[in-house]
Formats: sequence, structure tokens, C-alpha cells
Amino acid sequence: MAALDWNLTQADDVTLVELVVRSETDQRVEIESNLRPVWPPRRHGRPAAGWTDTGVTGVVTADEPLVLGYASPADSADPPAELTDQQPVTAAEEPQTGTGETGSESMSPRELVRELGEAQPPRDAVPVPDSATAHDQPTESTTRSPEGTTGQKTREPARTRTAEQQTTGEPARSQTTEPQTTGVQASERPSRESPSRDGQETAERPPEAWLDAVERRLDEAERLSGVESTEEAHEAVVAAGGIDEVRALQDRLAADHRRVEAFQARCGDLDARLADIEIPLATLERVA
Amino acid sequence: MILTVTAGKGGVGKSTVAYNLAAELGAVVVDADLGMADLPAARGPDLHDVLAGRATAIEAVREEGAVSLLPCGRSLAGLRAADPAALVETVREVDRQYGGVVIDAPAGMHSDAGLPLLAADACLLVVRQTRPAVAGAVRTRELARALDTPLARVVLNRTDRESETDSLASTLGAPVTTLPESETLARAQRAGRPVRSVAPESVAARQFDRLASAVERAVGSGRTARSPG
Repeated sequence: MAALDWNLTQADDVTLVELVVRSETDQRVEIESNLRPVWPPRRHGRPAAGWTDTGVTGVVTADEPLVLGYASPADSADPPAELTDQQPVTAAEEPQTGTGETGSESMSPRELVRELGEAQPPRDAVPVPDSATAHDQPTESTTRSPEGTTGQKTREPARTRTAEQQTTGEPARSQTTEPQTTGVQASERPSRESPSRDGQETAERPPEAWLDAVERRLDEAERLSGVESTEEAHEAVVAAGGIDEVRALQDRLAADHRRVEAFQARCGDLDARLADIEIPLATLERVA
Repeated sequence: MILTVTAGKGGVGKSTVAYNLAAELGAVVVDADLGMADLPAARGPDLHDVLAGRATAIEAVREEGAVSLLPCGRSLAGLRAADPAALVETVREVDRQYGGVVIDAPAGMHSDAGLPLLAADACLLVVRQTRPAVAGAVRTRELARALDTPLARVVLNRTDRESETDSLASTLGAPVTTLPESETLARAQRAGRPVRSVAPESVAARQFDRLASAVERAVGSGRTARSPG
């Protein structure tokens, strides 16, 4: 005859339930939770073997108690769970913990996934709007020549601005933009912080990679805004990965817009300073 | 019939074998290499969409090519959203509708390699005569055994040395068909066409014809042997 003992812990809004089943003979026990829903323990993202939405089935042996744990958002109850069925374990049956075996004709796809593990990328590896900058970073950044980078810097923002139909009107490389842009300079700081928030090196981050990414997102957005029928709209949303992705894209573009503006301001500033600067090389050479 | 073409490691020619074998068998090839899709794809729903419940299996099958294909998605986000366990029901549905499926499965020992084996009536192992490829093939054969999926055939790719097949057959426990190195085959694959439609008289095309017959025989007899049990 099996006996059930329990221990409850409240953590924020979740009740953690620890169950201990003891028996003098080997028994297959069925336990139903009084707390619903049941949040079972998980293995490779799937509920562990024996768990259902309402409880668990397991085997308790005479040698050692069966210890089970689960969580539930429900308030604690007394008792939190009950033994609803118990059957003596026949010799032919495997102990409940026999998870080392892969082979079973009746193995379901879900059991197999639990057994072998998912081969999916970890959540952090998937680019989402907030971490997309990490994804955009190419690896060849350090091999780029400074000249190439500078050349891109002054050219690319102007192009992007045209695409986004900015209203400032003046070409980015013109010196006349200086008075306008110095005022905006303060707003560049948050944009410089955003890559480091993702743990990226700010200094070596090539702007063209980021601009390419912005361009890709714009292309995608233009595809979405260019739909003319319900069917096209549906297809476009499916191609974009669902409506949530589209919403995320919208947020991302808003962030892009802010960054492009700040970037543009900074480029104008740098351009003006570059045009003005002349190192007094002759003097310095004499002093050195 | 659901046949899974698998291998112990990547780069041994698994996708080429799957594609050409599907052409011979008149089956739909399902690109189930979820992380490293290889077979050509066009726009439209793909396997990631099907596994995420965004499209039905039948919607995702492309019939326009020489071989009907259920392509795989290529994005990390799509892969993340997919429920890998749904693969089994997906290929069964395609098999019911089209009467034959060849799964191009990924190499490895995780569930993405195991699920295509679980879904299949039989599997076919592609090997090259290199130590890592054979070692990997032995592991994959063990996985197939654990899942009760019979190994119908071994394809020894890019060789015509029949002398090497005996030891391999005894190591892996299944008859071996060799597939010689073939520029015609490579060209056909690059063009997204089966070799039988490009060069029906080529050695490669003849070997695929033989391979298909051998697989059909093996799976046919395997079915009768397994049905009473």
C-alpha cells in the first residue's frame, strides 16, 4: 500500500509541490493534482515521461521512495494531490525511470524528442528585433581598411536617407549641414550605446553592415506595404514570418529611423571637421 | 512507402541520392534537414511552416519540378518556431496523398535525425569510403535499429570499386550499392533535375534504377515480414 506525503512552497504566484510516495511493495501509482493547471517538469522542452495535464503516473519501489515535483499557478490546497490508483508492478514491466532505452515500437514522436533532445537553435541565437544588431554584425569587420569605412560612412547615410525620404533636404556631406547637425549630436549617444547593450564591440562595428541590415528591413517593409489584395497581404505576412514578426519589424524600423538620423548627424559633423582639419605637420616635425 | 535517406555525416551526397531516388520511385522528396536545407526551394510555404502549423503538408508540396518536393525553410526563426515532432504526421500525410515519400534526413544523433527514422518504413544509408563517414554510418545504423527502422540498403557514394562493398556490407549489415563519381550527376543536381531526365543512359542513372528496384524489393518483403508481428 503506497502512501503520499507532500511539501508545498509558495514562490511569488506559483505553488511548488513536492510529493513523496512510499510503499512496502513495488507499485505503479497514479497521482492526480488538485492544483490546476499542472506545470510538469520538462526534459528537452517536453513534459517529462509519465506527466499529463492533470497528474503523473510512476512506479514506486520498496527500496526507495518516488519523489516528484511540479509547479502550479493555483493557490495551495490541502492535499495538493491524491493517489487515485495503484497496481502491483508485474515482473515484465520496466521501472518508471527506464529512460535510457531508446528502442520501443510504440515510441511516439514526442517521446523521441524528449529522449534524443531537440535540435533547434537556442532562443538567444534567433534574431529578434532587440538583438538583431548582433545578427547583423559580419565577421570580416577587422579586415576592412579605414579608408573604405570612411568612404562608406559619408556615402551610405545619404542613400539611406533618400530611401527613407528624410525632410532635412541638405546632402549629408555638405558643410552647410554643420549648424543643423551639431544640435542633434546629443541624440547620437543612445545609438552608440545600443550595440554595447548587446555585448558588441562598438569601436569595430562597421556601419555598412548595419546599413545593409536596415536596407533589408526596408525592402521587407516595402514588400508588405505594397500589397494590393487580401490574398497578397496574407502571403506577404506569411512570408514575413507571421503578424508578430511584422509588428516586430515595425518597432525595429522605428528604432532604425532614430539611429539613422543620429548617424547622419554625426557623419555631417565628422565631415565638417575633416574638411577643416589640417595637422601642422611641418611644425610638429620640427618639434619632434 | 516512406523511405528515409540518412548518413553518418554531412557532405556524403545524401541529398543527391534522396532526390534521384525519389525520381525513380515517383515519390515526393521531403527535405527534412531542418537546420541545413539543401534541396532547391521557391517561394511559398515550406516544412518549417507545416511544422509550425501555419500550412498543411499538402499545401507545401511543390509539384512543378521534375520531382515533387516539400522544401525546408532556411531561417533560424522558422526553425525555432517549428515543432519537430510534427514531422512524423506530416510525412505520413504526404505519403497518403502521393503514395510515396523519400525523406532527406540530417545526419546526427538528435531528434531531428531520429524523427525521420521513426516515421519511415525503411532507411537507406549513404556512406563514403572514409573513416569518419563509415564511423558515423555505424552510429546512425544503431539509431535506426533502436527505432526499429530496417536498413534497406547502403549506398557507397563516389566510388566504383565493387571490391570494397563486402566488408562494408558486413560492417553495416545491409547490401551495398555503389554510385560512381559522376560529373553528369553533379551537373544534374546543380540544375535541380534528376540524372535520369538529363542522361538516362548514364551509369549514374542506371545505378539509381537498380537502387530503386532493390529498395522496393527490400521494403516490400520487409513489410510482409513485419506485418504479423
